[in-house]
Amino acid sequence: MLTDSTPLLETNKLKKYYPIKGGLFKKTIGNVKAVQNVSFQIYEGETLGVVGESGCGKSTLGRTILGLEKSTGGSISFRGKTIHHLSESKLKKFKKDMQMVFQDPFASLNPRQRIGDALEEVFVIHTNLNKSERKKRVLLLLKEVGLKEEHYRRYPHEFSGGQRQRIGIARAIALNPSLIVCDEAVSALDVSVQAQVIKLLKDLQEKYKLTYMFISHDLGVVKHMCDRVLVMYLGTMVELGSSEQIYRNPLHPYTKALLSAIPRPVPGRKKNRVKMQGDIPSASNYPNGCPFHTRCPLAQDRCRTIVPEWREVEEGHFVACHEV
Amino acid sequence: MENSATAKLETLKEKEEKIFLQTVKRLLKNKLAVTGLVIIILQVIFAILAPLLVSYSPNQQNLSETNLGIGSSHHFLGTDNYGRDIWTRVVYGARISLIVGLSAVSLGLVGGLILGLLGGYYRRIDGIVMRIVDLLFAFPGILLAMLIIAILGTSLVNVVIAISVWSIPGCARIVRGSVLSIKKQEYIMAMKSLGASDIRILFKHILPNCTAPIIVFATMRMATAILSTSALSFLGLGAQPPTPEWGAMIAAGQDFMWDAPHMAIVPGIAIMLTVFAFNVVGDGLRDALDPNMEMNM
Repeated sequence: MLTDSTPLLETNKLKKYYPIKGGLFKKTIGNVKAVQNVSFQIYEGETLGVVGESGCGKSTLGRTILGLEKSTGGSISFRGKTIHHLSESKLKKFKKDMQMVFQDPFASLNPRQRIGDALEEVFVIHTNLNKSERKKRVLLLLKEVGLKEEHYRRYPHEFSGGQRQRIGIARAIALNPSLIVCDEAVSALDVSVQAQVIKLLKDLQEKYKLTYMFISHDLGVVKHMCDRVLVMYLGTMVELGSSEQIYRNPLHPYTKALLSAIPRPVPGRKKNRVKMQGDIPSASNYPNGCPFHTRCPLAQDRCRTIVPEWREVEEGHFVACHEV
Repeated sequence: MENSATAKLETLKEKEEKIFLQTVKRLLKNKLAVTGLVIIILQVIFAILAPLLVSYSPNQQNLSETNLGIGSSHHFLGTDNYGRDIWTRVVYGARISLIVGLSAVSLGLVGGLILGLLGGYYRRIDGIVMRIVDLLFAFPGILLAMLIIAILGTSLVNVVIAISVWSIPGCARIVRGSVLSIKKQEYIMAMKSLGASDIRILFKHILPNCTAPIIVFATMRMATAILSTSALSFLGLGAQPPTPEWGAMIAAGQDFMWDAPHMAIVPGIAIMLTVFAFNVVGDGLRDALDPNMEMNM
């Protein structure tokens, strides 16, 4: 744990709302609250896992941090400098330092562009290297992620999902960034390939002192990969702690339910599953009080009216729940 | 999971694998499209080699051999009321039609591409761009063309301008639609996160991925452009006599419909064949480039 050092990235009450427009003059009649008051830190060299079910705002959070979506409120700072209000041209400098690996290896590469050209383009945008220098760098990159030199001239469709994801990783590390947001980076791959890609990510992290924000719905992978874990529900943070704390001693009823839903490879063994009732509420019709109270087995009256405070229960372990 | 991934890979492969060769292969399976292609190629050859294929000049009059019928000894498609060789004039007419059609369509494409790319990519100006397009769409095409010619004056150059303006809205809508769907793709998001400029994203990543509908549109548009050029010339708004333009030739021939019907019929057939050819090739291209068709095959 590196909690003492200054954070690489810090968000403070970050909000991202999508307006719902309707009526004759396209007036804003409501908001989808995709990300609500999210405040956390990522420290240099660590891997922060962000977990939660589909639609809980994990991906939106990642994209907002990278400036792909404009934040609605709150602040984002990178190495102590606030960046959320910067213009596109000023942000370019920081974009070099923050990269993203995307979810769908089939959609994240331009089908009409050779791999070599796609990777070289990164250097075209950010450096003044000439053609032969760029090619040299790209060949090195390909080797770095476990691909061969002859792949330089191929098109994306000639690769398997795992190889494409390696290309996506090569593109992300090309400029030696410090932070990489992995948005469900291994979810689309099958298990054996997943393991290889995770190993690659870990090796690269060690070699280049990378910091990862690892967004995933796969709790098993997150446990293996991450130092700390942030659990999100309906756009808000419900629990944050070290992997150890979250997996050994989950406090929030939502985290408990998530963890008990991990399939165990022991047939016939009955587990005390924490079951949730009902469906995830719509983020456009946000519940009052604790966002989880509609499905929480422990819900009391105060949960329906008062938003639970974000408090530290033990060192580095935060939770937002009245009943803990 | 593995299955769906491989299946996805397969369809993607099929779609992208040597996309050009596959498209050509599929196009060549379509007999109608091949017929059209042959007609177009022949026409292009005629247009380029025109001076070598004829023994007269297109405006060479011979008043002793007027209104000769088809199959005459020195004029196998006959002569017109001034004794000009109709074969010569039809071959030179192919030049005019192709050049006018090509330039009108290219100009229209440039305009349509710019409007479509801007409208599709920048939401803020989308409304404005699309209202301009709607405005252009509101006029019947030929009326719009006549209006422009009425303002600019009658000449072939103005016909090109008129027809290209008429092509802009259709092209803009097609391009905008493609841009809207492509800009949501993850690879565009990836380029944005890399800090690529809008111009780079638009021209290097979006444009190359929406060529298929543009090619189809351009081919179909050639047919319309050639037909409209002839129509405008027939009405006296385009090529002026003695230019050997097909529409103008029909207009000249209509007075001699009873004595020398071939004067109007021969250029009429030329127009018909050309328009037919471009239309079936456009249809064929649309089928060959459509990935959904692939799944039915």
